[in-house]
Amino acid sequence: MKAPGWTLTIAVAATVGVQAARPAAQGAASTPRSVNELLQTARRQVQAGDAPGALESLRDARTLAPNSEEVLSAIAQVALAARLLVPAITTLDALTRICSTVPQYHYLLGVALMEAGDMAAAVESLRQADRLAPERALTLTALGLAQNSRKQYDDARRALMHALDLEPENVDALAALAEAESGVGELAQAEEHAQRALARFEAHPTANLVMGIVLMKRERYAEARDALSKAIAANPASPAAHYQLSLAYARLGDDANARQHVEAYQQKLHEAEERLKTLRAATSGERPR
Amino acid sequence: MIGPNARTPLMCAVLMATAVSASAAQTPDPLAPLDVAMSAAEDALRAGELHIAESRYRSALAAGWLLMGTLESVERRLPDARDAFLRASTSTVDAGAALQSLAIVQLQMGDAAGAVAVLTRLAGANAGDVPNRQLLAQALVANGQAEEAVQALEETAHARPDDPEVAYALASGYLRIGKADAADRLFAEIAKARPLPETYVLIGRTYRDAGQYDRARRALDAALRMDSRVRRAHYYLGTIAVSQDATRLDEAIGEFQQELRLAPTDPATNLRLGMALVEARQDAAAVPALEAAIRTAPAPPPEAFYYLGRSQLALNRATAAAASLRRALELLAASPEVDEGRLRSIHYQLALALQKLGETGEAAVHFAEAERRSARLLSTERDQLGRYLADIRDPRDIVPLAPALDASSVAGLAAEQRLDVERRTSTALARAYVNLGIMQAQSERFSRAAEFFEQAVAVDAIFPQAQYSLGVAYFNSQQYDKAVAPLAAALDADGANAIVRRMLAIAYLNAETYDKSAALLADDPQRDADPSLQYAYGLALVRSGRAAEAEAIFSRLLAEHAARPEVSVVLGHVYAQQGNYEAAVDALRRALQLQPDVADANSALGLIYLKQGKLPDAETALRAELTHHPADVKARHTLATVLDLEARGDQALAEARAVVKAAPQFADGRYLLGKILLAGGHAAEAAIHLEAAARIAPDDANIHYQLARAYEKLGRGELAEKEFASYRGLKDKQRGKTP
Repeated sequence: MKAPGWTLTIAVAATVGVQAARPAAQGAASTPRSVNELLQTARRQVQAGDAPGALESLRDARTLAPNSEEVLSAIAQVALAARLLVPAITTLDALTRICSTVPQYHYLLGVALMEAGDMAAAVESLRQADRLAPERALTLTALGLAQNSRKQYDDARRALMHALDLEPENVDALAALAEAESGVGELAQAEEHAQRALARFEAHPTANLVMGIVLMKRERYAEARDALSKAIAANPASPAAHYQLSLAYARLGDDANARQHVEAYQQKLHEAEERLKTLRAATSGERPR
Repeated sequence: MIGPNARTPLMCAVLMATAVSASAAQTPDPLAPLDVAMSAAEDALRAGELHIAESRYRSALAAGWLLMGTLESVERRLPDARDAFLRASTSTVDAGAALQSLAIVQLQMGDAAGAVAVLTRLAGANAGDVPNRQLLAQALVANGQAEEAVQALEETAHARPDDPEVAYALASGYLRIGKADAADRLFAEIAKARPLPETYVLIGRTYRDAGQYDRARRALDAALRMDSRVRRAHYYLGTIAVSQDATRLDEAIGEFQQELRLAPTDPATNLRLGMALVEARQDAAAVPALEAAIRTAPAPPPEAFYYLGRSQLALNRATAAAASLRRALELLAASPEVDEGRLRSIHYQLALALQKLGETGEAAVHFAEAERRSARLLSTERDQLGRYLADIRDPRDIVPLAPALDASSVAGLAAEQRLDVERRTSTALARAYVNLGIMQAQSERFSRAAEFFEQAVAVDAIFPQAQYSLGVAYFNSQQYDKAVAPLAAALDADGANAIVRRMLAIAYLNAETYDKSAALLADDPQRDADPSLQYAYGLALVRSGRAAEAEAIFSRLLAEHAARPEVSVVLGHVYAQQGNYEAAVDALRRALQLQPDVADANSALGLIYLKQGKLPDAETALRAELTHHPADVKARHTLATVLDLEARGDQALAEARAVVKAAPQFADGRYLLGKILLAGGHAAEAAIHLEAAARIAPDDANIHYQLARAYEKLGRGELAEKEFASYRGLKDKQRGKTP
């Protein structure tokens, strides 16, 4: 038995004072504007839905305190919420370097990199987040999603099953697990998990994609087409869904739609590559490791 | 080594826009950037601007570590320098300068691959970043990627078409990969842009380094045609003569002598002239040249003494020869690379000199040393001496290619002054770390605070308050085992500090070092007035085998604080621990009468009822505890156990899942969940939790047993057998321990 909590309060209040090398200089430089005020302004702007205004306030704060963790963290979060991926990633890169033991920054960086399509870098960041703070369903789910995108299905399955242990109701993890199972050819399990995900969220894009893939393999092309159409409706940016749907249409003899989705697939792939190129060009100098 | 190439950047000043440096006029204070950042941080702190203060303290860390790295680099403590630059690079958002310095040190350490990795990320996508792109090219060359280096330079030249420095670097790169024609074209453009004799000298030297001797001669002749007094042209022509044909010593000697007419005290030319004269057996003429080289060089190389010794020996000046050759040996022994061939020659010549002096015993030792170094080294040695005379770089020798760090702020300092700067830098770094840690502690982020305090202690273990702050941070983040050492150090430094003493006592108690805890608490003047301290003391006494003393403490505790429910709870725990469940239940019920929602009383009652097999009573007590304290994971875990024993599987499963969700690293929780799942037929999911439990608590035999059963059900026989073996091993171990 350990000492109960109340015995420990004796020391919690112990404080230490900030160390100063020398007394305050006469006429010390006055601060032009308070960073604290700017942060509060940004918070109000975010609450009012004014993300550009918030970012502007935060940029001012960053000019005054370029290495402040709270300022950088606020910039990253506002930029992420506004889907401004390059500033989000460059800021999170800096944060993961100067505050390397904080799992949250690695997690957010992983998520931002996933959004930007850099799955290899995302896996690396999410693994680091998992190492720093194990047993977090959110991290494990994101890791599984990124590993699915890299076709690392065995690793993804481990991460996602672990996430589901911690959060059995996590529908994203369940759908992603179905995708991983489909990736390793375990179609029965994939179908079961995808259906369980769809029972909770009928329009789930990943679950519908998995159902489409499973149904294609079972040569049930019309049902596959319907599932894949739902997947695209929920996530039009998914190249995989367009590709699978083009195959379904081809099998159903609908060449026009098949061609249309092949083109959409190619376009999405191209867009993803371009996005990645832009990201890497914009962030290469920021991401030395 | 003495030579115009040594430790000079690839690019000569002739191509720079301005050639005059004012750096010698005034040495800047190396601590100035650090002092400025610290001062700015402290100003911000006083103004209550904590974000700005934090930012500036981080800038101070970067400045401090950059300075530290530079000092270590100057003293050739390269691994320390690398670590310092790495720390600088993780101190602030802008890490450019730190990463550049890091890459340079990596190159100097021969870690070209590491440098390439850093520089590729730093400048890989920015063709306009000339300094880092050039550095990247050099790193690529050092890493055996000459083609990639040229490609990097081509991209830079494309981005900066009018930059002669880039053009020069690219032309040199072309020469490295054998594209002499492409190099010719670029050199012609450079010469056209800067039609100076010095430009041609530089081009000539570069051709020479690439073994393009005819091209080199043409460039150097062109330089001399423009200005017959231009420096270095004759010198390079001399080295080319030796490089092309060892029999052209007379021609080389002539060129070196012409160079000396222009610069009589030049150590590199004097050395090469002396060496050439020794090789040409003109020893009397060689001696003054070699002596001049030794006199004027800031750090004469072993070769100067070796050749001087040889010439002195040839002139029958055996005493002087022995002294020179001994000095050559000393210098060679101190150099980072051992050159066996050269050592052999020096030992041999020294043995001859000693023999002439009649010192046969010592001569024999040196003959033996010369013998020991294989004769097969002779050709290598000759080759190396020839290369040295010709002032040619060994293409495998990476270090001379690596650019030097900008150490101008500390280069002029004597060793003692550098030590003083290092000491002051450490102090400033410790202060910055301590203050950053305090800011984290003030935000109640104690683990983060501890990280900063750890750094403070690492750079300056005796910095005021650093150990104390570290101890408090670990204590407050409940990492008691880690708190012990710094708190003990703080108490050593301030033995009268009662707060530190008390914290250390509680840290010992929680780290299960009961005797030390009891010793510290015994004399605590606050103990009588503070029931929590009394309790801690009593517990420490019980655990360190002093039960009689403990009983007295607990009796007094109860007598003096009968109205405090916490005291009764504690007593309840103590009685329960001793197996006196009746007294324990009485104490716990008394606590609940005093305060129905007092923490831990119902939980303890639930545990006692469970041990007594009174499962419905246990359930009632535990649910009562969770009503008031729903975050009490241990109470919920006990409740899940009770429900499982009552065969109420679904309810047990729900509670066990809640336990794991709240405390994923709680091994008992994982074990129970796995066990319930396994009993319910969910072997796959059970295995996941039992695996996690085994990772967290590898010495718990029961976990291995259940995991083995799960594997068995999953048809994974080999794994099941392994787990059964672990189970049996642990059980045997336990039985061995039990009397």
